[in-house]
Amino acid sequence: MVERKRFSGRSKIAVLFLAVFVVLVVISRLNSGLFTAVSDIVLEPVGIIEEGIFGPVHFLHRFFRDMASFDELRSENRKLRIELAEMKRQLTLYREASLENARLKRLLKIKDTVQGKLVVSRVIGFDVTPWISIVLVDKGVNDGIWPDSVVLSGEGVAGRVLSSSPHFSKVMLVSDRNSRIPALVQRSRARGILEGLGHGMCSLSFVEKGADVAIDDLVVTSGTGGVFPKGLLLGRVIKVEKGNYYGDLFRQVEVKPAVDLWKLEELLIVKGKGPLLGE
Amino acid sequence: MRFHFFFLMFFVVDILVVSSLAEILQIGLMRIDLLIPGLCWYGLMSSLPEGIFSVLAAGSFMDCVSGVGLGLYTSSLPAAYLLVRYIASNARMDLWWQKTVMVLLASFVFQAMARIFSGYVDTIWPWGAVQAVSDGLVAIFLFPALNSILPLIKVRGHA
Repeated sequence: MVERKRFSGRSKIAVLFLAVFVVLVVISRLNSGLFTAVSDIVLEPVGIIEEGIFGPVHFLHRFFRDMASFDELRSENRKLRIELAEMKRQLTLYREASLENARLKRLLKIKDTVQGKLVVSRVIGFDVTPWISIVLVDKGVNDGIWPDSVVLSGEGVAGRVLSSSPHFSKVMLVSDRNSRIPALVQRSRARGILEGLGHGMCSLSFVEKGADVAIDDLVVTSGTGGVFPKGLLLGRVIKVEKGNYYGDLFRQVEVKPAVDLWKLEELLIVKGKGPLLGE
Repeated sequence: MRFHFFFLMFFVVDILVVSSLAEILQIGLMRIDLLIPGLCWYGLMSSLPEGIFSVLAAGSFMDCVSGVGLGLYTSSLPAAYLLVRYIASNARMDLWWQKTVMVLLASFVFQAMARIFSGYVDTIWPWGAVQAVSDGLVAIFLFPALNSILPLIKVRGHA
């Protein structure tokens, strides 16, 4: 009798659990939002407890694992540092090559505008005298470079060759105070002489008082004088003043050369003995 | 002999350094270098007539590597050297500031001479003067440094 009662009690509990299970499954199928809410309520405290227990355990596990592989990490770190330094070096070289490529492309563009054979030379030093704008380049008489050869950069006229040895030449830049180049304003065709001022700037002298010259006008070679061919860019007008230096006969025009003395690296030099005639 | 050779080497190396690093050392139309302070130090330490030969050699070398008119440095460097010798034989220059003033004066004379004869008269003021002041200031540091290595150059009285 007692056995029967016990069985009957167990059966009731089993049936109850089954019923609850079925109800939960049905609820979860019918109303997933409610189930998720219930799940979240359960998960939150469980998660906190799990975090509390497993966090330090995990930390200790990682700590001892790292300690075991410390030597390996150190050697790997060293290797990576070397690789990084090598990558940086290569990146610098690539950047340098890219910049050089851009400069040489500019030189090639200007090459099409000039007659005669051209030689690419590199600037290897500056003059020992601080008040003159003269640079030393690595091409000389053996490469066909003679005094008065025209020197160009990617931006325009850089200057002319002053003297040449078998392998090197001195180039006087347009900004040198002894440099004089016949020039004209491209827009209005007003003529003048481009004179260097010595500190990286030039002035366009002997421009008639009534001449039409404005700021941002381009100044190009006039082709007269027998050294520079016509139409090469010399610079840009940055200041125009009513002249008073030559008794108000001429205007004072300040020109910023297209070429920056301190940024010169590669130059194009027109080959040939003597001055370049013809345009 | 070793002393004169040292001066020439100092001068040549300085010219090469100045030519290569001009971009860094240049300020306007002047440059921070050791050329004139070094020449003044040599002028104080060496006597005539043997000293003038080294200075002539240094001037000739500078003329060769520079784009200014030929003979400018060959004449202006000895002029500065002779000025230093003249001052040294007529005035006492024991204190550092006296030497600085002497370098400043010699440098200004050199700057004036070189800039006038190369066609850059209007750069004497202010750039020539600024260069002279710079040379005077450089001398404050350069003279003790060169004096400290002097015993290494002059061995057993053979100058």
